[in-house]
Amino acid sequence: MSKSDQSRIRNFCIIAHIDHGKSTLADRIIEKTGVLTLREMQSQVLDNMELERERGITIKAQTVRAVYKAKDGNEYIFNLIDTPGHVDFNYEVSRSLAACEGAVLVVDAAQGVEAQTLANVYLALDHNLEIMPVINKIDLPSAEPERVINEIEDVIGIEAHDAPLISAKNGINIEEVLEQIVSKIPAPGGDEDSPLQALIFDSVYDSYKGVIIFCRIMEGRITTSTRIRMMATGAEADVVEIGTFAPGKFIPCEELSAGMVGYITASLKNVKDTRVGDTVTDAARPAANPLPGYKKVNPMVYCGMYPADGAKYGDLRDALEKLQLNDASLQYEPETSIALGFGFRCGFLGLLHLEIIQERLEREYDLDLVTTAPSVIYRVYKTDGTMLEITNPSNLPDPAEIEHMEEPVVSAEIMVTTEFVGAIMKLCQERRGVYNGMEYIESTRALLRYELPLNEIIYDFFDALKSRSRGYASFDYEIKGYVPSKLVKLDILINKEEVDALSFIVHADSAYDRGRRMCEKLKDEIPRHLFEIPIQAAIGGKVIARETVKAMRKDVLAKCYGGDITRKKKLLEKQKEGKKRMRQIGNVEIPQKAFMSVLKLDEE
Amino acid sequence: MELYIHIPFCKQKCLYCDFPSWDSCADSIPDYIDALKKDLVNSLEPSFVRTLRSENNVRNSLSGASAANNRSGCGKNGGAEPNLVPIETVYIGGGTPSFIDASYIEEIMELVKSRAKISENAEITLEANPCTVTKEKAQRYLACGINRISMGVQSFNDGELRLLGRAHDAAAAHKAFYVLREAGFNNISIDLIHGLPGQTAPDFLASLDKAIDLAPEHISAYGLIIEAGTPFNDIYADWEPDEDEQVRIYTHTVERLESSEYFQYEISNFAKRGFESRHNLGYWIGEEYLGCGLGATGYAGSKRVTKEKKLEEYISNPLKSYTEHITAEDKKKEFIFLGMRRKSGINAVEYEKIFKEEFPENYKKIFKKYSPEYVTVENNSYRFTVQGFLVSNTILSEFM
Repeated sequence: MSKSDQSRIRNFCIIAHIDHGKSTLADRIIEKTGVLTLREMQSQVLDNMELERERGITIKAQTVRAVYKAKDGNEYIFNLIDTPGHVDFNYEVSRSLAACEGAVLVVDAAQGVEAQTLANVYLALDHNLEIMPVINKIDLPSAEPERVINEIEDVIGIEAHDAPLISAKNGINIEEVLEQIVSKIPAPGGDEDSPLQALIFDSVYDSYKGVIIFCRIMEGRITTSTRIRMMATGAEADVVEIGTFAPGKFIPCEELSAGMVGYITASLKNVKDTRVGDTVTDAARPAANPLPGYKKVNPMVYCGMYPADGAKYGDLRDALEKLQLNDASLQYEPETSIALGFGFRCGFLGLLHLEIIQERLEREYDLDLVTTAPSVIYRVYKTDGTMLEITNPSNLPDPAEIEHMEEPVVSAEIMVTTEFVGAIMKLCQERRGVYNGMEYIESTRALLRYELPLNEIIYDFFDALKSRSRGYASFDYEIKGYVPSKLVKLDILINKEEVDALSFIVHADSAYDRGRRMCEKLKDEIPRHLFEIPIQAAIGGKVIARETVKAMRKDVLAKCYGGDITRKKKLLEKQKEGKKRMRQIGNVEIPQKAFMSVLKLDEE
Repeated sequence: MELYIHIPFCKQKCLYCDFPSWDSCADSIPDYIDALKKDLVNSLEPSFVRTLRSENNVRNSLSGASAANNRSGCGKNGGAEPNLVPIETVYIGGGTPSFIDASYIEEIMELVKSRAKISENAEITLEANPCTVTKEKAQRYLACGINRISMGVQSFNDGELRLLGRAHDAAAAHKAFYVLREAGFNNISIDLIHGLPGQTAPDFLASLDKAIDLAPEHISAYGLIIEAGTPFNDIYADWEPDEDEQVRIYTHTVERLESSEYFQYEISNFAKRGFESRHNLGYWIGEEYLGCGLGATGYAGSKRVTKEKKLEEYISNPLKSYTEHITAEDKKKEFIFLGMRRKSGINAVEYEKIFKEEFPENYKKIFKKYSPEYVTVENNSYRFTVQGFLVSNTILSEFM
């Protein structure tokens, strides 16, 4: 492609609050630009994973190239880079944005600007993207496009009066969106004769091709004979194939040059070598500097994952290995629990990431898992002057050796209709939030700012937020740093035996309450045995809460004659089967479920 | 071989009953009896029993049956008697067998006697309920060979009887008992149910005492089970049994009966010496039995066979049945969980004789774990204590 052709390329992404219609608009754009016939269209082409479709969120960045014949008579190449839709993946989002010149901002005509809308817009503005607002769901009875346009102008401060009023779902006004992409979003720049600088915004592992790098060529060019080097990781390899994207398939080509979006395969075996945000350059003629903005993302949330059936440990390891090929931010290392046996301590970007991995392990790899309470990374400053980072409560040193501890905090923005402000403020206070101010977006909605400890939001904060605002609150956060905190390790003793998998680190002020609720919850989860089972919560050997599972003195004494034998046998076998799936702690059998149910203590 | 015959008709269906029985299909009785007779004729064929006993699947067992026929030379066709299936016990249950006309019972008994070799001292039981027993019926039952009556009284408290939806009151139970005695029955069992919603230990013991006062040979005391699909299940959906009270009822029941010389021989069964139900004991020691009638179950060799459970379907196709194959593993499980229902429990030597293998170490380990509170271990025998019976499911499930 020659230089002049750059003017016919539009690299853009679509940003939106969850459920505002990002993926549906992407579908319409693909449909209208004719890369797919209707028959090939499956709803939401870009959300590849079953899980993504079900949850209605995008987890991995997806890219599609389409050709649009505009009203000016010219053909334009659209590179649509779909970005992950969740705060857990903010870094990936920022790299996808960096690969674009513009962003189509989708705002729901009824709901208006939400927390993620703002967060995404700020992120896009940070990358100097041209933001092109689109008002979606215009055909809803509750649509108020005028109000939403004013809101965009007032709150975000961008021109929105000529924003296309569309319904992505029903294909209304899509043409106008396409025309505005041509007229409003700038063409890419970059000099194809400069040394190669290609921004990696995603990479996937394919069992045939190895690692496939998704990249935007910022400067220079790459051909099939280039030897490439990742500037941050230092990995080098010969290019095997380069090309561009069609939905669901790859189209090889001879050369990619500045301004273009495409893929590279180079017989790389591990996505760890091709970190999102890294710069690909030509090993023979390297660029002087990498592109700005690269950082190695580190897990924020950790938990233990154990196979429900101990014999499946090897299967779990293989599955994690495979998932990691595609997900460099997933970390894991073996660990052992007295209660749960052999498993892994896994690190995730956030709770959603954790849930997604857990679900994928269960669905795609057919594993039955027991997950321990998620933990953040605590910094433990010891009296001998050293500092430890703790992700597993069991590794916490003896309290006597601890000088003080620190925990990570986030700055959070919560957008909520004014009637629920009180309820949400109360929730934030319960979660040790520090109030940082409130703004009224309009007369009915407010933006609350809080500093919250990360460990207070990784449990069930989202659920609590939703239930206390009847689903109206939206939430976004970013990690702010570490602050000293009065933290204690809460141990759970079942029949006088400490269950390591149930220990967790908690702020001293909420320890009593959490301990009490843990005991209550466990009391309901642990089946009765032939003896009484005390359940205790303790801090450093001091019991702070106790419940008792009463001894069972009688089970069902059904009669059992000729016709009852089969049923009886099945009943006893089922009982045995149930026991098999339990974990034996001392002489108490604890259902797997009990280990997880304690994660949701806020249910009312 | 034992024989169970099912009569699925009742005057009135009890609120807690989930047995295949009807109170509104009296018109079907003649057709049912015809079907039942076909079922009996078929089941009592020696070749049928051999088919049951043959090891493998249907295809094999069919060929096996014909081969067996050839070998034996003279089957039913020969008209000779020696090959009739020997029957040691007959149990006519329901439903309420005493509800239908006594002539039907006579017909059934005649048929069985002509098609099977009923042993001299066979135990032949008929289930009766207090409001359907008459002097005439009792005499006819005796005359056709029935020598044991099991009467479902359930309670001697009229309030409780109403709660259960029974068709009779306590006075009727007394009366029926005397009618049976006077007719000449010297082996009568009374069934009682405990653990009713709101029932206390003294409430039940009062009923129990009334039963003991009648001096039957046998008393069964069952815990009420609220089964899904019964009206009881809806009425008492929110009822939580008081476990401590139920434990009291059970332990006091055992004590009271034992001290009145009704000796416990199974979880819910008590008898004067020598009057244990041989038929029911058969179920717990792995005896073979034939089951005839709607939903009846038979067991022989490696098969457990259950007849059709829908009335119309049974009437039109009385030979239709569902087979469950019983593996060697199943037999071991059954040896334990059925055998342990008996007061005398199980014996390791007996196990070794039957299964030709050493009594498993892990079995011993499980028993030891629950000894002595729940299980009494003596030489090679293992048996539940009263406390053990109460939690027997929990313990027995470990052998599965």
